[in-house]
Amino acid sequence: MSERPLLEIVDVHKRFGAVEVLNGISLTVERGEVVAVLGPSGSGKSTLLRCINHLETIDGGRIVFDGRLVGYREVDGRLRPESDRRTARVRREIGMVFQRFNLFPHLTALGNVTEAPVHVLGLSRAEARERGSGLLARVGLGERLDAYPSELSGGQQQRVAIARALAMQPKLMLFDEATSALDPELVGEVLAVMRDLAADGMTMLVVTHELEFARDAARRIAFIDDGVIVEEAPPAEFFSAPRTERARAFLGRLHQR
Amino acid sequence: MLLAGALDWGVIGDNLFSDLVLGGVRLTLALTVLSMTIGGALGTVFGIMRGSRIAALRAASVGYIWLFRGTPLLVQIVFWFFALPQLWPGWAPWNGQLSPFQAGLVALSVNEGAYMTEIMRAGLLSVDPGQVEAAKSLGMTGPLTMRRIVLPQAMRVVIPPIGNEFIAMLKNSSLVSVISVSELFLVAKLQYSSTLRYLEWLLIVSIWYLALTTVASLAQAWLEQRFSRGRRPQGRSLGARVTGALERLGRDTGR
Repeated sequence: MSERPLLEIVDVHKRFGAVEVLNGISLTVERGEVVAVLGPSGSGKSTLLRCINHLETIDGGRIVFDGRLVGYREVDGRLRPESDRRTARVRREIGMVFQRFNLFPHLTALGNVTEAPVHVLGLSRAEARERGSGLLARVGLGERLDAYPSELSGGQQQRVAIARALAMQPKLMLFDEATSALDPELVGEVLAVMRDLAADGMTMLVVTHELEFARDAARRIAFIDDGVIVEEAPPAEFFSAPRTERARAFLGRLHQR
Repeated sequence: MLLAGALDWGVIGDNLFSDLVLGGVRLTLALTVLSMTIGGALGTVFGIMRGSRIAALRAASVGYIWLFRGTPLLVQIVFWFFALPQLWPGWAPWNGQLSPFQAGLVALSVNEGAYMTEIMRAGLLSVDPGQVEAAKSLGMTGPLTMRRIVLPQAMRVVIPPIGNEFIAMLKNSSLVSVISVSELFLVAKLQYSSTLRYLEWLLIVSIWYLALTTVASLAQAWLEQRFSRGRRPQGRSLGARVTGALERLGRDTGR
């Protein structure tokens, strides 16, 4: 059972109106693997991530996480929408970090991190506080437990957001351009936390524009353009000898900057 | 003209805290607090329905607002007391009629609910959709997300208009005097009708209404401050200023 990949994305299609955003994407993520998803803006990277934990519906194909469909159940070979409650159950095990942090502004850093463990997992407040303060210490914010998000820098907020996701002890972490909204000098502290997580064996799917991070921390690069995976390769191979014209063009544009 | 020109302060002094007047104040307060609570609950439910994916729920919410915001409160009060038994005889187990207080409370609550629906809708819309996505991504169900994440943030936005509504309700509750609920205004009315001391009795009720609305405004400022937690560390809101002033006052007298 645990031989099966943690995440299997098979021929997923997604349309927004007439625009085909995902055009038959297939991707597999093994347990403990870090996969970086690269691609030009508007290529469908973020949409793919949002489909995985069913923040977006899909129009075709299937996404199987740890042997279960996310947001759907299969009836006579067809996918039907799953109930809110059961979808939420699967989502517990998939952490997500957003570009714009999306911390809960009415809760302190510790409140953000303990909210779901208490109200979703049913942990006691004491247990949740212990787990939460441990995680905040791990992301370097052990001294800021009682700070509200508005009192924290962008980098600190994003680290709280990572701790918040980790507090659910997810099997998979999704990073949706986690550093894109940060001032350049704050990017490093967030990437450091992500590297630490990767080194710790967390399974991660990372949509990013940080090529250095992708090269050093990822085991595999998935390059997306126009809603399909154009190229999939280990970072060393992808960056030194991209096989496809589109990947070469993408890397060339970035190097010119 | 027995009373011409003479404002008799004695009448005010004798009656401002009389049992009769205090009884009226109590009823006015009870009507206001209860109808605002029930109206707030109705407004929350219909406000959530207004944003539902299910068309029938949205329609029910729109229809509710249309009906109860579109007809005079006075008409609704008379309806619940006099017309409901005619429309539906024997509907209630007790004599088929609501007591004046019950009818007044229902009328005020249901009417208030229509306004509160719009206020709650605005409050819910003010919350960043990213908040819901973050909650979902943590495995929170829809109802839990609403209760723990969306509503607390909507509160910040809805408290000022709700404070307005509360103050309006303190005064509008006097309308139920037409179905003989002896709240503050009816007490005064009965008195000035028999003594012809209009000025004195109107002053008595006005003093009370002003006192009640003043307390309500202070409570609103305090609540605003409380629900703006994490939003304005420097606290420039009226609530923050009032709380700050009260704290300073406390410190000064404490010394």
